[in-house]
Amino acid sequence: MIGSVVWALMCATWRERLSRPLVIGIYVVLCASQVMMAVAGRELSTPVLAITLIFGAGIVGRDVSSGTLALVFTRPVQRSTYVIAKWLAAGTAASGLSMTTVVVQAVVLASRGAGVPGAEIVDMLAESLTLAFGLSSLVVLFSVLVPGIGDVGLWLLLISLGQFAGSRVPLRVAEEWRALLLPSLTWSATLGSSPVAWLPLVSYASTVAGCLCLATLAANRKELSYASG
Amino acid sequence: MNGAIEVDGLGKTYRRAKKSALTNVSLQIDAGEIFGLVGPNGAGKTTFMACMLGLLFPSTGHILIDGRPPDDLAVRRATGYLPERLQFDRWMTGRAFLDLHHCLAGLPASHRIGEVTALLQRVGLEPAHWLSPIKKYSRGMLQRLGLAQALIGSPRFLFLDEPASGVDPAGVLAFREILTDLGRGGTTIVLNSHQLDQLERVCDRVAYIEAGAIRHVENLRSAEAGRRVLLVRWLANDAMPAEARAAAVARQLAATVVDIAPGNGRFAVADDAQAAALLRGLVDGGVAVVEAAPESGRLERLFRSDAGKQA
Repeated sequence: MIGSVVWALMCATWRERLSRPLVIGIYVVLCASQVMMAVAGRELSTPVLAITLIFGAGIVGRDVSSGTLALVFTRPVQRSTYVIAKWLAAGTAASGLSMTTVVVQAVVLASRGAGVPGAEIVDMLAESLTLAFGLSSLVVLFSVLVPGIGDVGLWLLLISLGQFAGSRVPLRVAEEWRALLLPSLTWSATLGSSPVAWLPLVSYASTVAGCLCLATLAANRKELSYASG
Repeated sequence: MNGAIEVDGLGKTYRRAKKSALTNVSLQIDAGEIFGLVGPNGAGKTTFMACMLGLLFPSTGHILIDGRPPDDLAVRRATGYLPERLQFDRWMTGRAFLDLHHCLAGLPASHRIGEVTALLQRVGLEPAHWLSPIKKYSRGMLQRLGLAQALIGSPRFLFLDEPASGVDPAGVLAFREILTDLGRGGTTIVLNSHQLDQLERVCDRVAYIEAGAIRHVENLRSAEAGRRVLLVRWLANDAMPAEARAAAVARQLAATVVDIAPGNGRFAVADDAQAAALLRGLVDGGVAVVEAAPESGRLERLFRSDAGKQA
């Protein structure tokens, strides 16, 4: 039963996001510009950061602001199930769209006789996948905490704060701050290496799990009623 | 306490608010009862309903529904809710919206098409609109869709916040019929509405809430509930004054004459039977009755008197 509820919430989220012409328009522009940059620079890049932020903006906060979340939470749905479904929806959509863009770039480059090594493609796909799911967990946490699309605003504020304070704090702290706000993995540096680099893997998994646990905790404590304003 | 819904010493204070939204609210609602909430805007009715739905957490006291806390999943499986502000997923079609909530309610997918179709028909939403995006729905259509959503899974507990708001007259009648049927079927209904006549027609009891506290609970099914003043109007062109005949009939049937003027009179009657007897007596006595109506509803009188006391 939980599986069908998660799937229903994921489908509803995808359809809601993809029903917005603005989201589709931005994705098409991003994809086209990435392909053009790849052709010009002869190297792959992934739009995963922008796509995750666009797709994830207000993924919970908008449901809170519109009042639809109150209706969902009167159903026999665990709030943790809702949080997981939103994370999976954002992660799968952002990674799917980003990975498609990477594959398109690779195909275009190959067709122009500038084939990209397979390991580089795998690295880029792995980064798209892990950053999409990692950043989505952070966006879902922020989205539970702040209404509307304040989640993206909060993320931008924190990342700017890191940039601003970068030169004033120890390098290690700045790196950890960045890893926390941009949780991702590269295939060659972790699973592809021998022996397997467990530290970044565990660090990534704990960041994602921590964000989802905190998001569930915050969702469980969240009060929902238009009377509460 | 052993009611279907038990509220004991409920208090709710919002973090940023200076005063309590609810203070020491206690009541018991029986299984199968239709219970109304009435009161001025900002009285705490919606807060009270949100606490009963487990969407707001009480600051003091507790609520039990069927012996369990409101946020227990077993309670949620047996609960339906129609919010006042219908901000549904506007991009969805009405049918897709009900399909989603049918799934969220944990009901079998194999029953989905049949049950959703039956609900759409029950609330009178025209089939032509079933596959239209919700953003194209009128307020009345939204209300019908909202009620269909609340009825998914045949809930034993139904919480309705202004269910007939914005609905056309045919819809109001249909809603009343549905609520009456549900009440007869044993569904416990909590109804928040400003429409006093609607509440009076369907509710068994009504609580008057003001400033976060229950001031009064009126039992509309008690014997004294029938007591009212009837305003009767008749043709005043008879040779013998109809007023004298009307007064005589009223005295004969032990109804109290409140006042009589040419062409109309007001009579206090104890119950429906006495009202019917009085009207029959007037007609049989040669009074050309053209209209008879209660002077004002019982809830209206209650609301006026309670509001007057607070003023």
